[in-house]
Amino acid sequence: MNGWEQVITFFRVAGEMLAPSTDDFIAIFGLEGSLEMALTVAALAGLSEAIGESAVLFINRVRFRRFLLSLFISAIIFVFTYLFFAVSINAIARLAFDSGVPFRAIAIVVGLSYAPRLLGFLVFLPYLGVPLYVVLNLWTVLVMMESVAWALAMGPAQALACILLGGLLLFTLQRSVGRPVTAAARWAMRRAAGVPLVTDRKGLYALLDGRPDTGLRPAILRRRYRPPAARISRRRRV
Amino acid sequence: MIALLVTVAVMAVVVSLFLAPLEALGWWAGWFGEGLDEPEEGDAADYTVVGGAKAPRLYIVYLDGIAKVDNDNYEDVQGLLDGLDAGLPEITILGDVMPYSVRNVGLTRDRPFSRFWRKMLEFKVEGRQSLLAFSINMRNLLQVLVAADSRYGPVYGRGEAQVILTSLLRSGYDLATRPPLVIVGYSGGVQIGLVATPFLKRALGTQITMISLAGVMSSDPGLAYLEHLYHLEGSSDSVPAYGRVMFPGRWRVWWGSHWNKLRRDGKVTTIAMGPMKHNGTGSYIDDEHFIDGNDHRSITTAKIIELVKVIEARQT
Repeated sequence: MNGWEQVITFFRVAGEMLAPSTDDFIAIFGLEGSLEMALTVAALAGLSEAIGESAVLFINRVRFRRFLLSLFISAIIFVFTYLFFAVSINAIARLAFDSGVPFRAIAIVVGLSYAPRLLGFLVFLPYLGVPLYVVLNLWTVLVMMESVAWALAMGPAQALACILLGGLLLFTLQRSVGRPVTAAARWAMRRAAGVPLVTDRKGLYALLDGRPDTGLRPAILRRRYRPPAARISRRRRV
Repeated sequence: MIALLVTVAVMAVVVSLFLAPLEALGWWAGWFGEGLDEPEEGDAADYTVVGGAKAPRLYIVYLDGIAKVDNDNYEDVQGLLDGLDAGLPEITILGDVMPYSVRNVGLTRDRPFSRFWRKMLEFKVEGRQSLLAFSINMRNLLQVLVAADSRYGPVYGRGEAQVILTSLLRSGYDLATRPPLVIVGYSGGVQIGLVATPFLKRALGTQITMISLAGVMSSDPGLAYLEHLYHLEGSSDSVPAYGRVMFPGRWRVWWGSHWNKLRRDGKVTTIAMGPMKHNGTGSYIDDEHFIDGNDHRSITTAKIIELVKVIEARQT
């Protein structure tokens, strides 16, 4: 496949993964470079989601170049999180469900299941963004359930249990032996942003409330003044 | 062909929605080269007091609806403000704030698409190409959605509070006596006023009352900082109902929402304005439509004056 064909194939696969069928899984597994494709889906989903949630970077007053760098670092962190999540699901599948499916297969289905989150940038939309975030996450879980069920040849309920327990295992690891990795991710984000990043809601509000009082000073409007071409004071609104 | 047009329209709406928060967020992040420092004298947009300088016991800040283009007012809006000024000679009225820009930069001013907006303004005032001219309302409506979003609302409120505070200080607001503030919002202007309220309250420490002229508002945390909210609504106006439906916090079922708390505290008063429409012919500020021999604008002006006098009496 040349470069253009790879791009076309990627978008076709990503489209199919929004509502995958058994035929889609068989076709995707038959493709050359399906693991690379899963990694790409995860990386782009991470980037898209970082754009969707970039209000945090704005409120932290991250400069434009560092803003772009922060998005890139977020995407890398997302890929690592995805790989650890796939490892967790693989461990649960082996320990709890006696699965013999190779890790590569689980990594492919889990990675491709992030396809709905390629639309994560839409979370940035005002007012509609928050409900969209919920929808995209539920959609991802459903696709992942379908994908894991197919890859591990199990029922949807068992696949869901596998995913939830895998998530729980990852959560536990992040807060125990994985602390250095989490700390490294935070450090990378701070370095990229160039400011001490505040991410919790209370802290973000505190940033905005940082200097009110009479020090609530007006924004500079140091822009050239251009009188409007059409004066409206003598006109009636239609 | 129709499918293509619908696709293009949907894409245009999504792109517009996507870009809508950037002005407020970019301003806060300092991307536009504007800081939070004091402005230099004379480099800000016009801040003009309606009716000239006074030494008032109370200030009114008027935040116009989503048809607002610039710091200049439409004739009907200016008529309302002049009427308020005539009826309330002791009170300072500020009516030139552009509520749909945290930088107080009108659409026709120093913006990448200012030429486009000037053209749309021409269409609007001449009554041509009404669908195209409606893009002004759409653009400002998206800013209302930005203000109503809990992620962006505080940033927007901080910016708008600074714009209002600048306007107050330039009109001689005395920080020693801190006179009370009445925000008169028309339609989406109410939401903008609500997000600014917590910051104004913190900055000025004075009493803030909202008069909502057919306001479209969410259950914003700013409601908790109001002394009272008076909501004026016409029976021929269906637009405020969109707010009641669109924002779940306004539903009675969300018992603990800011809106319902304010309502339970008896701090919401709804006033029926008779058969008035939201905008255009027959609107609240139309002086060519009459109810019982009085034109709509005079009725609205008289009602706001009456409420302001009640608020003023309550302060003393």
